[in-house]
Amino acid sequence: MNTGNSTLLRALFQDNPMALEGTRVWRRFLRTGGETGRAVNVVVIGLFSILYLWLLGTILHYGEDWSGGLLYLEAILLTLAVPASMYAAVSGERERLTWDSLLMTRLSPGQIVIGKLLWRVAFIGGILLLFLPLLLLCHFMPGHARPDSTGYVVRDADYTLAQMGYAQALLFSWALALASFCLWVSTKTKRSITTLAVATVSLLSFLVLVPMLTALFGGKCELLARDHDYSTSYSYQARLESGYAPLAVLSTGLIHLNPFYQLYSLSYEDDLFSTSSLKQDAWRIWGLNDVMPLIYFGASGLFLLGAWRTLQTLEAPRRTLG
Amino acid sequence: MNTPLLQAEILRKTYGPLVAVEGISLELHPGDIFGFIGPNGAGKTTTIKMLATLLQPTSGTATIDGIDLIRYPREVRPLIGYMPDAFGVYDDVKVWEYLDFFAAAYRQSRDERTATVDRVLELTDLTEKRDAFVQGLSRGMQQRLCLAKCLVHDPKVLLLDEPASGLDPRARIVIKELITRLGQMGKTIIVSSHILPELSDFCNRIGIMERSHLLISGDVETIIRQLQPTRQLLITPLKGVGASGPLREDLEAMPQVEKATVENGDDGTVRVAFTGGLSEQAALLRTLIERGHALCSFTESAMDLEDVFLRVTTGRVN
Ligand SMILES: Nc1ncnc2c1ncn2[C@@H]1O[C@H](COP(=O)(O)OP(=O)(O)O)[C@@H](O)[C@H]1O
Ligand SMILES: [Mg+2]
Repeated sequence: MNTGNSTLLRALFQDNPMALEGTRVWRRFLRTGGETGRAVNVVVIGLFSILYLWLLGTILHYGEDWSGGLLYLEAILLTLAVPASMYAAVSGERERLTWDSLLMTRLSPGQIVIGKLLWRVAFIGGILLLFLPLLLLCHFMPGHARPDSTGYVVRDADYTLAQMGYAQALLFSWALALASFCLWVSTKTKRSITTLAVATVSLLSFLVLVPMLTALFGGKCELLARDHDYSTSYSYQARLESGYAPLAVLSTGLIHLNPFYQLYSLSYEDDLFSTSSLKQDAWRIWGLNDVMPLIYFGASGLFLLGAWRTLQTLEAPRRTLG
Repeated sequence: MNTPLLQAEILRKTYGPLVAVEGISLELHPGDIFGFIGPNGAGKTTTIKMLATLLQPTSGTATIDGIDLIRYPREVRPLIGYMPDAFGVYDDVKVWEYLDFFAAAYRQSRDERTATVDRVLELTDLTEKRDAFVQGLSRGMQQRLCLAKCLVHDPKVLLLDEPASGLDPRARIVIKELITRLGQMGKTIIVSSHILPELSDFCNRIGIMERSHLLISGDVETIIRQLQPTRQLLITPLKGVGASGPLREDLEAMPQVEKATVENGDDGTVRVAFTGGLSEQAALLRTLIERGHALCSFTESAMDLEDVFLRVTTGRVN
């Protein structure tokens, strides 16, 4: 790598002044509102620890495989926490009247975008790391023979290690895409409340409305197709003939972008897109299950690029004078 | 004179039909402290923001150190220290961390930053508060911290928008002293206020703005001379009212005296409208003494900024 690149990387990651924001958030978390705030923190952290230890103990003791539930829990936690941590990233600076001072400095738009992302990525990583021991225990414990009242029970873990790894990549990339999306919206809005509203509405329509519409109008989405008789009536050919095709392809495609659906399809040995009937369907072009994290990473890249562009236009002269 | 450091030519800003700033022209040299006075809504903030490259002028040009700030805002920004009228500081950071952040944002190395933070803390008299948390500082100290932040990159131009607003009298004095010191260091400073006395002591140039127009601008003495072409002398005879009649008559007969009137009051002071310069003024005094007038006071009544302000804005204020 040449020196130009490495100084750029340094400025963006290692020596990015914006990293100070992470320190600030961490401090605020540790000392929210003085004594009472500290008490609240102790209680919250205490409750979390108890819950965590209970989960740990139960898995260890009974050899339960709760990995499915844990993955969903992780997904829910990230989906809620990431927008909450990001929605005020830039619009908040505008509201708190610190933005102009920031623009006056020699910080580049890239440094601001990456700097805003850095501690949030650490935060996402922290959540994933927190769940990792639980998931690994779930994987290894049920695999062991364990005596119970009926004798020895030997069970396979719900997920293979590869699937577990895939799920982690999926969750991380999903959270990153979400963070980047919120950052992008935040650069576009004047007020944080607008960012929050836009993020909430987008998330709700993406995660809830689209599947609902799919179920209603695409009707024959895969979710239904797999649980019912999908041998003939829901084949692509049938839809094509019934004029359903574009809607079906679109809706089934969109639903595949849903991380919860992705987690759901993890637990099936046969991947949706490798089932015999679906293999014949043209809509397996949407069969991007295995590269879903790449799609989320790609989306993150696009959103970050959008955020960067917005900051650039804020910086650049908008008019040339003769 | 040498080329100006900051130059603005007919800068104009409109918001739809509303004219916020109407064709402002300015020329400032290193060391100039330009007092920008006008009531709320006059257009001071809009002008300063345009000069800070944060607001695009509708028309007009401006340069700082020869660089067109509309075309090359990113090149110009490092030359400017801008203190907004309403500003926020990051909470949950210590004073030194806050300044270190901005120094880093101006791409200073770790070692440079340590020196910078010490320097600006010293300059703004905040050294004791180095390890205090920013949100715990008083309003006056936060204002000084904001000024300190504007100084980390040693800018040539300081744009200070109402730096003393909302401060108690003592904190105000501290800020004034600080600005005076910065002017002595050779920085070009624009400092705005809607309260005239805040600026009258330390500015060498002023501009008075009202309803988007810059009514008058230039150096303080020139403006006073423009508004008051004759000097006003106040001469008090030792013997009071009784002696003022002859004194007045003598004065009226002298060259360069336009008019002499006896002031109200019992000390018999005579006000003289005098067109001469300082040496003629000295000659006048000598002549009066030679003619046997016993005088206990001979002073020039200088018009101060307050009078200028009243004179310029009269009839335009509602
Ligand atoms: N973003 C804006 N949109 C519309 N009008 C504005 C905007 N900013 C300022 N103005 C108007 O421009 C005029 C000048 O405002 P300002 O520069 O803030 O005055 P000052 O700083 O002297 O108090 C005011 O009448 C104000 O209402
Ligand atoms: Mg203002």
